[in-house]
Amino acid sequence: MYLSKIRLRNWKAYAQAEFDFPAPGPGQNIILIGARNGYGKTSLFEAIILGMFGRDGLPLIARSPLSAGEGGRLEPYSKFLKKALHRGATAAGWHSCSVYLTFVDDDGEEVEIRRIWHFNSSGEYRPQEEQVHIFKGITHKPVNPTGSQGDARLDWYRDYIARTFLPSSQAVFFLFDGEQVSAFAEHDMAAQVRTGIEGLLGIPILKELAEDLRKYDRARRQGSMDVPDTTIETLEREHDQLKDQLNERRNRFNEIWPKIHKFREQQDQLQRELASYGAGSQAQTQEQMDQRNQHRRAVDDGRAQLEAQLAGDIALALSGRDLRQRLTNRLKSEQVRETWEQGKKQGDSNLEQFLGAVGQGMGAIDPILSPHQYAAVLDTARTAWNQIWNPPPDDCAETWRHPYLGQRERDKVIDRLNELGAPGIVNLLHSIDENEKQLKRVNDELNRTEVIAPTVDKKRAELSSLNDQIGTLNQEIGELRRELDSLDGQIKQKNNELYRLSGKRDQSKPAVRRATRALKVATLVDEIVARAVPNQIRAIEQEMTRAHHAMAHKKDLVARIEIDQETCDVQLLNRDGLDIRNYDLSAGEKQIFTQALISAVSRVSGRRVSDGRGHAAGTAG
Amino acid sequence: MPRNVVVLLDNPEGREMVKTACNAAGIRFAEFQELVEAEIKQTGKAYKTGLRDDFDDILDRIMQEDE
Repeated sequence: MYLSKIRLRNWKAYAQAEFDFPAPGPGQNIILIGARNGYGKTSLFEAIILGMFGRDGLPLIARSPLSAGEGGRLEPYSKFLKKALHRGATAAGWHSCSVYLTFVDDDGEEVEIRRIWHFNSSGEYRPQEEQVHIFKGITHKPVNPTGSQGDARLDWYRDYIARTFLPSSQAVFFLFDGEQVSAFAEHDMAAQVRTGIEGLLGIPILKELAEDLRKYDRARRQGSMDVPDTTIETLEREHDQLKDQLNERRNRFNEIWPKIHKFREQQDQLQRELASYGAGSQAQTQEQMDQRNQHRRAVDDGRAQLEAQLAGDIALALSGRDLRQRLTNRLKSEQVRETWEQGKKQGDSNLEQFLGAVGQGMGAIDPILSPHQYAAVLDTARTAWNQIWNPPPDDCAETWRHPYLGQRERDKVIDRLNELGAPGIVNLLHSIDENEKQLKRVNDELNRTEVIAPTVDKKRAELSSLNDQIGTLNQEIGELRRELDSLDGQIKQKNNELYRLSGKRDQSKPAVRRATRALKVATLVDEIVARAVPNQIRAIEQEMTRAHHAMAHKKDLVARIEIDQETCDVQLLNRDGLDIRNYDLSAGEKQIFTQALISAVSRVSGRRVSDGRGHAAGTAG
Repeated sequence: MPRNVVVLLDNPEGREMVKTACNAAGIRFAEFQELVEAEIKQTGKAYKTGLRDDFDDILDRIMQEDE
């Protein structure tokens, strides 16, 4: 099943909005929603949660008043919805907002959940008018309970959504705000594992059953006992006192927990801001000043070298590689001309001697050549000689431009020109230019750092104060946890005593008998709850190890994950069996742990959402 | 049958554990499931109307000794 469309009306910043999502396909089963802060990502996520679960979804919403406490109360829901109504809605005559969610199931059939919230003219939420409608298929056939009204109708839809999609008690592992994973990762690992497994198994329902059975026991006993049993009454009073203490501590815990979240978010925000300013005002300024001095020295050295060369080659170097190459070519062509002319000149000096020898040779020819023939042979020999030297070679200069240079001088000039074209001064000029650019960049950065330094120092002070507050609250949370555990143990002991004593009472009265049975079942539920978590731990360990290996960049860092069956304490063991949690884990590694737990819970529970492979939905900030 | 809200009762290992615990306590498993079902029906409600009546009915039948 996957979410294919969201339609919003008067929801938060969205007056009217519609979002279509493509069907998942092979290798394309994730939809990322990204935008700047304040552009409505979280509002969209909240629309999905409340659209599906109504007020049951409130604890899943990070910025709701119930995100860390127990859900289901009306007041925070009303407050949240009052803020959820689009600002301009009432002025525009609207007194409702709505979220329509369209899913496509595994058979390709559409299922649409429509939830509509109504408000009075002052923008106050009207709980009795909340509407839920569900439609199926292309024809939008309504899915609804027959004959139910009010709360019963909403309850029916709650059950339908739990069966068809997901129960709200398990939703925290499938629907979560991506931005909150980092905060979740900071929680105590043992508590995360226990909560995860209990949520997976539906333990909260069993705990509620035990609680209701005990309430039932009291109610039935009070109505049926003629003679009060003082021992039992005393026990019950002690039990109640312990329960009050437990609730008081829990309330304090629930009061502190969101504060820690809030402080941690502020801490993250400040850390991100500080990171964006750089390593830190003091250290960074010093580093930048060092860099500036280094570049300045490099520029000065380069210029000194340039000065030294100014009297020598600089003008020639500045003439450019192209011009120097053309001059080199010209001198080489004149060299060819010189060689050619020397060869020709030497040949010419031997020509007359050669022609004399030819003339003498012709005198010995029989019959004797006529004077005309004699002259013709000599002309032919002279022409042939000239043809040997003409035309001059292709790379020979046509004229002399630098006749004053001899062979040696010409070679020296060519060598010097070649040397100038190579690294030397050109590289020096390039190096000076590059260092000047760097110097300008560092100067700009330094100016900026000097401007932001006071801001950075102020943010540092805020961060330090936040760290102190978080430390204090963490300490209190630790103490509260210990007290809660101790009170829990004492209450269990009282429950056992109550059950044992009440069993001795008159079994003949049906109400008392039922009450006794209720206590017996409540005690049984306690045992089942105690055994259930260890029962699932092996499966969670294996899935967490697999998921952790799949996600972690340092594959060999964690060889396996082990969870203590009693305490749920987690050990991330390396190949040598050492718990790497004794070393300081990075924020990213903690997030991987949390995501591995979420993945393990979704796999072990067999829940399938999104693309049928247990992928969770989330928004990315 | 409790709906799969309480996964413990859907998964074979968990179900077997609960059955064993019920037997050891002399409690009928089917009725135990009914209690869970009754609780699930009330989830999220401010007033759990009818829950005690359901408990009355189920608790009357829940003990194996009643057979």
